[in-house]
Amino acid sequence: MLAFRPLLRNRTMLAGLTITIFVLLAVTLGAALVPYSDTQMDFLNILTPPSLSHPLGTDSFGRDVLTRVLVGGRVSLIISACGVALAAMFGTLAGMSAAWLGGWPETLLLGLVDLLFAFPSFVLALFLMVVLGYGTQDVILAIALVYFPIFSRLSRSLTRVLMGEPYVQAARLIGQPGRMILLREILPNILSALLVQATIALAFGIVMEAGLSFLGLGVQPPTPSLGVILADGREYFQKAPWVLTLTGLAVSIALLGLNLFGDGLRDLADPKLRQALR
Amino acid sequence: MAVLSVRGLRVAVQARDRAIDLVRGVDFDLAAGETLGLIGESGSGKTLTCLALLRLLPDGMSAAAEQLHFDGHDLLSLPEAGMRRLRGRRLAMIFQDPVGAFNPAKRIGWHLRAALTRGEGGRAPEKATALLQDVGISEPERVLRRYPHQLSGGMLQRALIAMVAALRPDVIVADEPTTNLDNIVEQQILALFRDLRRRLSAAFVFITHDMAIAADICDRIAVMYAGQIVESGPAKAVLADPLHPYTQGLVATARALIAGAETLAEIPGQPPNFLDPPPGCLFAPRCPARRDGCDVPQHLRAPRPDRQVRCLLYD
Amino acid sequence: MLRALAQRGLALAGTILAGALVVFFAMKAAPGDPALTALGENARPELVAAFRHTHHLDLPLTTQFAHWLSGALHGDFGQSLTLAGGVPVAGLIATRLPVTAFIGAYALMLAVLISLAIGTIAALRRGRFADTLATSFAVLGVSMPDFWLGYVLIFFLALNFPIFPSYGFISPVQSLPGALLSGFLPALAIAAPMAAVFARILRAALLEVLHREYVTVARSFGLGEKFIFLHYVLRNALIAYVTVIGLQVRYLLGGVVVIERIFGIPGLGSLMVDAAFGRDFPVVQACALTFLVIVLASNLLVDLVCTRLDPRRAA
Repeated sequence: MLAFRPLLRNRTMLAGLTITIFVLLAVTLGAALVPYSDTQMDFLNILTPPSLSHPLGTDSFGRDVLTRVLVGGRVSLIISACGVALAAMFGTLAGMSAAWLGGWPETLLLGLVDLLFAFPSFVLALFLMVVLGYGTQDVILAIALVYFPIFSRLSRSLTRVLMGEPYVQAARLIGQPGRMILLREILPNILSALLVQATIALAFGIVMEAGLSFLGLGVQPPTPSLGVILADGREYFQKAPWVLTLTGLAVSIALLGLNLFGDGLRDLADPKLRQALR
Repeated sequence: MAVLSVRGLRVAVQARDRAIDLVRGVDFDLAAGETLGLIGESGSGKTLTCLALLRLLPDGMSAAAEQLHFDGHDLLSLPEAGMRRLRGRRLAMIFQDPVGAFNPAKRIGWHLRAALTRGEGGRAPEKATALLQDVGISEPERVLRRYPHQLSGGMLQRALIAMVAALRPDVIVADEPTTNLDNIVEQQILALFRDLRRRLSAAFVFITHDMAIAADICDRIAVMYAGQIVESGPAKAVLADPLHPYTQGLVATARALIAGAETLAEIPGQPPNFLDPPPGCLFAPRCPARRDGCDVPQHLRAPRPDRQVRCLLYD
Repeated sequence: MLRALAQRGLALAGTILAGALVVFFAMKAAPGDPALTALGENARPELVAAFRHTHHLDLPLTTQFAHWLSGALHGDFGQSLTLAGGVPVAGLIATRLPVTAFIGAYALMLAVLISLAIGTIAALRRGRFADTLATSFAVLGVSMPDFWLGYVLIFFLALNFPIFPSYGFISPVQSLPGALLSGFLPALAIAAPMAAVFARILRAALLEVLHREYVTVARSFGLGEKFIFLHYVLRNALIAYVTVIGLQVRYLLGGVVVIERIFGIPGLGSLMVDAAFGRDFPVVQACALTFLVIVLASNLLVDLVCTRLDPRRAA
């Protein structure tokens, strides 16, 4: 029974990976393969239901929804990726430093992070949009700030765990500077856990961007993003529900892929790190 | 008349693509009121044998036997509901680790009530204090109100014994009940067992790896090695005159311990690897008396009345 | 016990104060002039200056915070800049908060019920089809953006079965059945992703407890499976389960915001969204703080419940 586990998890991860790769390919190359451009309007074919020539139908400007979703998907993905990357970099930097320095820097960081974490994610994001302004860059910053606590907490606790390891103690004893130890000994070992967290955060980041743009506070039209398309779809939901429904379905599939992949990664990770990830 | 009769009991665990035998054909009879000691190292299959008797093996393990009779019931073919009726009331078990045996979210009083009423309704607790006093707990009302994590191992083991004894089963299986306790408490619990043997008319299967305890408490002994019984007979006889080389090794070690020896003559080697057991006698690789002929599976011989040995030395 | 509570209360107050500080100063950094927002872009300079003076906007920031804080302690959170022209913010929050609380509680209840069913089935039928189905639902649930799910629910349920309105909300004070019906779809939209997470946690917790020794011991006493599941398995799995529920309150409140907008529910979330659009700083500030307080209070509550559930923590 114990032997089955890795295989099963591998199946999940494989499924997730397959879906994710498919999605990535679709958003990078897809727009080039589709005959339409995302701004191409066709006023003779407004709000047509899904058909062979328009698999996801057309919107109120006659634009092909599939093309919009592919381009918008790329935008959302990039936004989320940038935000998560920022959060991961700065969060890890802060978390590792705090763990290493201990004392009041650590307490300060923990306090700040706990405070940030005490706000519901979306509420915090909403608040940040008011403070930062509305637009693509601000969404990236908002995502970065919302996920900063998770990465700093994770890297801090993992660094603390690893600080007790003999090879770290040894490096300390022979006088290696803290920076080097953190970089050479500790960081490589926590990288896998951070990667798992990043994958999961990427999925949530997409949802957050979609939500913000859906409300009109995020990416501003005409730049397409998943949230913007969903917002469009909402306007004429009664007449043409497929836009919103199918776009959301596409988003869900992408997220499913990411979540499965992240799950699978987590189960392959070092058991020591696994505990911190739960 | 044997109250429990076991023939050819086997327990196997399912691993990946094949079944691995952990208990390989155990036979014994238990007479009413008798105490049978089951002796062996860890991994010899003692605990699994007992779990199999109560049909409480964990998932992934399965038991099979030619015969498994308890007081007229055929335990092999009994449906689960029937088995449940027997458990506790007729067949009971005292587990090795008392600390893990209690529901951490409930008080001791609740546990007693649950065991006595089988979860079907409350009953007055006056009986409960008497039960705890019978096992040597001096402040029963206080203990009844406590949670398991607030009590010591010894106290918990007493409470567990009280619960089992209260049901007055016909057969009580005690799986190394004192192994996890420290020495002073161990002696107290053993005294409790001696007392129980007197008071209750139950038959006991007492598992231990300690020869001295076996000599003290058991009427008969069966020595297990690698999932098989290698020797059995009256306790005093087996210990005074062990026949199987493994038993001889165990007795020698125990004698040395009692005599306060500085170094112990350990039995060299390790128990067999279950994935790849030796073809013949399972003890042969470690046996000082090994010879030709030991590379075929050995059966039980009866060199003397009421003694059985699984060794060709006694042909 | 009381002292611990007092300590926690103090820590809570400290965190809220810190939160108020951060929110206040962050709000000050936001683009936009409150005076112009309230009076309009083309207001006369004298009016603007007068406004700024009345609202202490010309004083140093720390003094402004002190003013705000003293007002807040008296229940005065300033006035809305845009909505309904100068309505006290506290009043707005007071009207909207109960609605959000109702929807939130409704969603939580649905999530718990759904996850209890699914998690239990998955754990008890582990490895079989029902488990795979349940686990798939769990992963799917997390993958769907909840506002999208909200719309899909509207599409399929509200438009086809008119008993569930697709817009608007009837207060429970006016009509409880009306509130339950009009709140069902929004609550379900929020509940589904949460139910997915809860179900996974419950399944894992149940599986972990199912293999504990005290479950085997309970069975050895002949206790029935239903009894064991309720009092041994579920009871001990609840600790991990409730902890996760506590952690999820953050996501619950996040989901509430967008769902309220979609379904036109006059709650705290839609208030914050409208205020965000209108750059109504006092309202945004107060909403953010209210959400913070709700999360902190629920964390405390969950902590207390967990302590009650796990006797080992109460020590």
